[in-house]
Amino acid sequence: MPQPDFGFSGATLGLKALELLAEGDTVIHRLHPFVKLMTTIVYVVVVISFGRYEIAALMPFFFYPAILMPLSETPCAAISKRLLPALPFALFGGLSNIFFDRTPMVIMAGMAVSGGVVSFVSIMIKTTLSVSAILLLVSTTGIVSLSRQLAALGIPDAIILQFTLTYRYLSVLAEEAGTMYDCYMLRSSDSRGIRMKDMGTFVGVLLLRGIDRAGRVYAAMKCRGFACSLPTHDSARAFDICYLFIVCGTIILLRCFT
Amino acid sequence: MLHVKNLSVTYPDGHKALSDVTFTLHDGERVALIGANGAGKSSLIRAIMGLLPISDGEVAVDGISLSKRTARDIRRMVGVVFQNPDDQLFMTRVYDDVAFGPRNMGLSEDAVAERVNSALAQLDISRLKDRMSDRLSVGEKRMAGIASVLSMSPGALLLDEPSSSLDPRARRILITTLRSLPQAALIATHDLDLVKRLCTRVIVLQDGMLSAEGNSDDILFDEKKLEQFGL
Ligand SMILES: Nc1ncnc2c1ncn2[C@@H]1O[C@H](COP(=O)(O)OP(=O)(O)OP(=O)(O)O)[C@@H](O)[C@H]1O
Ligand SMILES: [Mg+2]
Repeated sequence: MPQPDFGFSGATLGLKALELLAEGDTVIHRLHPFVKLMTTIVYVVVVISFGRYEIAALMPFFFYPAILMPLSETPCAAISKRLLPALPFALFGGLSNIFFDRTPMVIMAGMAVSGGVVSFVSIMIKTTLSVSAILLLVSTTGIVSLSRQLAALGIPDAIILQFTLTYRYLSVLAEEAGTMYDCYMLRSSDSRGIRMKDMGTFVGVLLLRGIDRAGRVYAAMKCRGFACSLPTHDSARAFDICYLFIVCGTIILLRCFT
Repeated sequence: MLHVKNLSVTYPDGHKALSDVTFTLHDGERVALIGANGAGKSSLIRAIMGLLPISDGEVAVDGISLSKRTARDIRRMVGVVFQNPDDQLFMTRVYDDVAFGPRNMGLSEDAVAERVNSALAQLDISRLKDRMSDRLSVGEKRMAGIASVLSMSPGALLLDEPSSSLDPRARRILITTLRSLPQAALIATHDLDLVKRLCTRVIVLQDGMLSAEGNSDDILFDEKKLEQFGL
């Protein structure tokens, strides 16, 4: 079915929609949040630990999202759509490498490929892998469960609060950006996007509005008794422990032997 | 129940939103807070909840004076519905939004469900239970926001424009519901008809100052006075 064009607001991060996926009931959803949190952390740390010129060694790590997505019945689009906003940051970081690091690294089809290009590709792959893993964690666990788990691990309330609020801030920011973009477009007859001269104002106002709204949302949370003291979960079952050891073990073995 | 004494509030940018406001909200009483746009109604509500720095004066609920330390207790006793329903709802689904307060009160999941269902039924919006909060119409959001506070059954209610953007039927349901509640309520509104049906007393704010206070009938039927108040 062809999707109607919702403009910018339709394409916003939709973090809340991602959370809705967390209500699914699959093997992965039923795993203990602690187990999912730990495997994600191990996975992200291992992926990031690869050297800047490594590409081939990263390839096996696609197994994690590739297996988790079908198992948790998470549509690929749900992850890839939200992955896109993260890529420009990696792109900027990676692009500068292309300019600064021009030592030839490998010869490909008779052409010398510079170290910058190799590390650029490596950064993009690492970002894709680690952001997907985190998105999968949220989409199979939900933000409330995650905060509870962090609390159970003894993470100070203040940090969990930051974590919860950052998450809310991101969704609020995406929403505000959508509204502002639509208002801008409706009142500008010719332009195809935000004109460069308005970009500074747009981004500035967006951040202020985002902070403002996030503040008001936080006020509403406090007014309804939010104190960041969440009840804890049940304890893990044998299956959870197995999952933890098998997945983390595989990830670490892959790191050692590639 | 709620005492406000010589309250003054100045925004960080120097704008004086309230000066020397004094009034009392008694147990079980429904009082209207009226005044032109920018008169300071929302600021007063936020100040009572401890969300704005108070430059002078005092707010007390059931004998507890508002301070940084007591803000949490006061928020437990007083429920607030903000003017902008987008600020009120922040969870994914309506159910979780309405359950947010009761869950923070440490109730069991069964007790939470009971409160959520009864709050939704009271406002006749049970159909919205499983919808996503940010995909509702403005009026639906308004009703869900009110439900999210009713589910906590607080000792007193502060409602900022509860009837705006509601259709006639939703508005009637809201009025009936509020009338059936035993709690004291302070209702900031431009809906003078709602005031006539619901409130016994009226407080008028003008440029951040309390310019009149009295019986609903006395104030609302005096057109000259209303004109004076900028209404
Ligand atoms: N964050 C802020 N910083 C500075 N001034 C503010 C801020 N919020 C509100 N004000 C000012 O304080 C005054 C009172 O605002 P308030 O929102 O309380 O009015 P109100 O009576 O609720 O109006 P309305 O009927 O339009 O809702 C206004 O003049 C407004 O411009
Ligand atoms: Mg207002």
